[in-house]
Amino acid sequence: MFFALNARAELFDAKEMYLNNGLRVIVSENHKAPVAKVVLFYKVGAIDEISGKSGLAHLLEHLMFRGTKKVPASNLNEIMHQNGVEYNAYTSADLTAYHETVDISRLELVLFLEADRMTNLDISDEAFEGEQKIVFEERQQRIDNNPKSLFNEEVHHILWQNTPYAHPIAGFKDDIKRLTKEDALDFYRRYYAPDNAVLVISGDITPKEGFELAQKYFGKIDKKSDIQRRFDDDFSAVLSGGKYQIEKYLEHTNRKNIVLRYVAPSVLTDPKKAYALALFSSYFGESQNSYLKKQLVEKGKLVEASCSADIYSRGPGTFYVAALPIKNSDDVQNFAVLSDALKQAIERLMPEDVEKEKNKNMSWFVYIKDNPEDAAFFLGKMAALGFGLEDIQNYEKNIENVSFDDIQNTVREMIEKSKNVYTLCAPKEEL
Amino acid sequence: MIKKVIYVVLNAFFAALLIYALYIFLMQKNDFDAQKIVQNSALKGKTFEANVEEITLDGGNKAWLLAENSAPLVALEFCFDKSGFAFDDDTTQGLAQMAAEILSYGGGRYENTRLNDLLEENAIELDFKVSSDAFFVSMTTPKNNIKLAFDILKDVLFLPHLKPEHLEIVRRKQLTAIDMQNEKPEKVLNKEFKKVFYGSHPLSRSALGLKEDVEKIDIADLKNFYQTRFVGDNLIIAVAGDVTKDEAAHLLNGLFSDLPSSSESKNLLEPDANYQFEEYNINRDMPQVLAHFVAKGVKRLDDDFYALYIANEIFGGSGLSSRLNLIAREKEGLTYGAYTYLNDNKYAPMIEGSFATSKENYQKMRQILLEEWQKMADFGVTKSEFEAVQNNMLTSFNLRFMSLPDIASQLLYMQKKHLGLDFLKKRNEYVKNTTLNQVNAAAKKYFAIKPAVLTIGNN
Repeated sequence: MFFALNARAELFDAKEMYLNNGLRVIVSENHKAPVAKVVLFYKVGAIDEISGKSGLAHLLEHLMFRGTKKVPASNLNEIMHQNGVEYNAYTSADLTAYHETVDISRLELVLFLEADRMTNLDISDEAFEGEQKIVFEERQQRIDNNPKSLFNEEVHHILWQNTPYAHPIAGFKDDIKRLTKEDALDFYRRYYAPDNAVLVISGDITPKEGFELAQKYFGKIDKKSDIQRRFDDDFSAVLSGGKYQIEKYLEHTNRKNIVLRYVAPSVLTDPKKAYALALFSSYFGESQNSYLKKQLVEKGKLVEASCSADIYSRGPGTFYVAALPIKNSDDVQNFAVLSDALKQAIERLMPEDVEKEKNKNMSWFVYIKDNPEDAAFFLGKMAALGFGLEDIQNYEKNIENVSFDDIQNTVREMIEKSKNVYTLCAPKEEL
Repeated sequence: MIKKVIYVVLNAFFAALLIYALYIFLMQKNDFDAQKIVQNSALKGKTFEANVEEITLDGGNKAWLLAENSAPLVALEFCFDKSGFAFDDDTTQGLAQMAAEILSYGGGRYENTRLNDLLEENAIELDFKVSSDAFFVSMTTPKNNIKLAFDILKDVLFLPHLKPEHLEIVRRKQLTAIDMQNEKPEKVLNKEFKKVFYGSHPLSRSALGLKEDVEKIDIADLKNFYQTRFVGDNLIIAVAGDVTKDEAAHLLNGLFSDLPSSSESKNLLEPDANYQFEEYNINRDMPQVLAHFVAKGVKRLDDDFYALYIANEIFGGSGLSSRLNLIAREKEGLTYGAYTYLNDNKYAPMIEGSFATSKENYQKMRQILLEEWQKMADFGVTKSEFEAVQNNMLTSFNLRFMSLPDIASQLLYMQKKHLGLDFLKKRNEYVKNTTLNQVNAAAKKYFAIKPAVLTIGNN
């Protein structure tokens, strides 16, 4: 067939090693330009927060830019800027990542800075209070200014009810205001350690050079050994059932939109099912020839429709189907359109569709060889979720091994059993 | 006696120990020197060898190529200038956007479903988009599919099927997007800003166009669009990746073999841009106030470009270490971020900026902006601020070569802005030759007049 992946054995030119303190280091070579991408993943995210302290993982991510014993106050930003480093960080439900794009001559410098703030964080009370205000403003800017975003946060909470995934990453308003410096430092001391992290260096460097530098800067940091996770992995309540339908009429909303969300398998809860779902998602709504586009958008039943399978998480994943209904369409029918499409797609799926979808999915891996940033994030995320390097390098096998029956069983089971929430957002006043 | 000696020796010993410990402690506190780490680093700076070649095509067009074989991929970027949404006729506003969207529904030998299957199975990325002034095409393909990729592109671009049923899909999506333009406050603010700044000039429009025009645009309008816009005179081409000069010339000659050389493409009139409108607010119930502000900037080839670029970096362009963020974000905690950037468009160049803050903080935030702005004009920048930005620009030079699509975009930009084939070889000299005096002169000149501010919220 159309096997574009002629260089598959070398999907990543990557090697890994563990330092004595448990830090996992992965080096991926790409010698196009004298640059490197550094990504440091910590295996901690919003799901590790205890209830009432939502937003803590994210606030700590901000505080990591506010000074250490050796690089006080905001000197870090100044040094990064002077040295032409593009840098940022993000917090997700599952992980926290700090990343830098650098000229190769500044690689050592950013490794020093990352190693330093892994263990030497030292923030003043003023810096803490300032950053608390900043994350509050960030929350307002990203969520509260926009009624649809605020509504999505509510729905997210309904889908995940009492599980740690219910925490909004930005934190609830009242929670953000109540967080203390001691909360942040406690979280830092508990989770920021070499044996709870993965370092990826991707770019114009050999594995030997990369490992030596990692040893030089991170080697002396003590391991934690007994990281006491608070993460509660009992997801039985959301994996088995409950179907919700919510209609909401919002300000500043001019067109209806509908979303169907399911709690779904993830690469950690059930890898086989997770990859089956990812393939189904690709068939169902991710490309221009997918079922949703051909059967609904091109036939004029919906203006736009798409889906996605969020399978890379420590707990269960999520499957979304989102659509924009035709103007003046009937609300009761809108729901039926989406849920029927899902059922019909799985009935009409043929084994040859699955083979075609597999080939399409695998052909794109060739692009990972071009961009060291993509390679670093992919390697780092999979490694931080706990996958071995060999598994990651043979990633296509996960897709290759999915059978037609796996897809049918996985999707049917999800439709019947998983908790799901259907929402209709509509204008407060019809246009 | 001996006891006393031992006592003194011990005391001296402990004192020495204490001093030594203090010394170690202080050294540890101060043993960080960023410059030293860089100087001692085993990994020394290298400059990416950017050998940009020029290819002359049969029809006379030039293409710029950077051959680079580290990955078996090729990235192609080209655009038809004077073909963006600002060039749509007054009665067909939204046409350029529709013309871009409908191309992915097939052309020539490739019917809609087959086209999209082939693209996916062969990992060919194909994308059409419009800006205010140009129509952009970008394609990235694995090297072993390159012939197929160019065959597909030629049919799709020059023999589009333009089926009525596909036009209706595109129309429905665009009308929905027009309806949804007012949902997000940032979008409302941006739309209003273009209106007050450009007045009735076509640059004030959005790519989506007007509802009444999009409702009646037909196949004949689309055909007319391609005939008048897709011509040699408007074409700018860039290629990067695993391809030789000869291969690239052959492929591009094939792709553009039937391209007419010219048409009567029009130029836009100079806009009478309003840099000094009175501050006003768009009323909207929300917790924050979003602000957008503007002042006069420079065109890309202006003598002041690098000097003003550096001044702007120091003021608000460099992220967390800019003056604006150091005061408003880091010191006062008023905002998640305040940013400024140079918009170097050739019609009405600007220093543009934006911030968001809780409504009770708005007046304070506004005052900081205006005070810092005035300080730029009155006192300029310091030597160390200047050197920091210069260093940043020199050490970040190589980052633009991260991926092949990045490189191709860069080559296209260089041609659009007339920077010269040897720009990448000279760019660091341009930066090094810019002086502190020039930066301060630019600060004095461009920050002399306070920015015009537009807000949304209920401040």
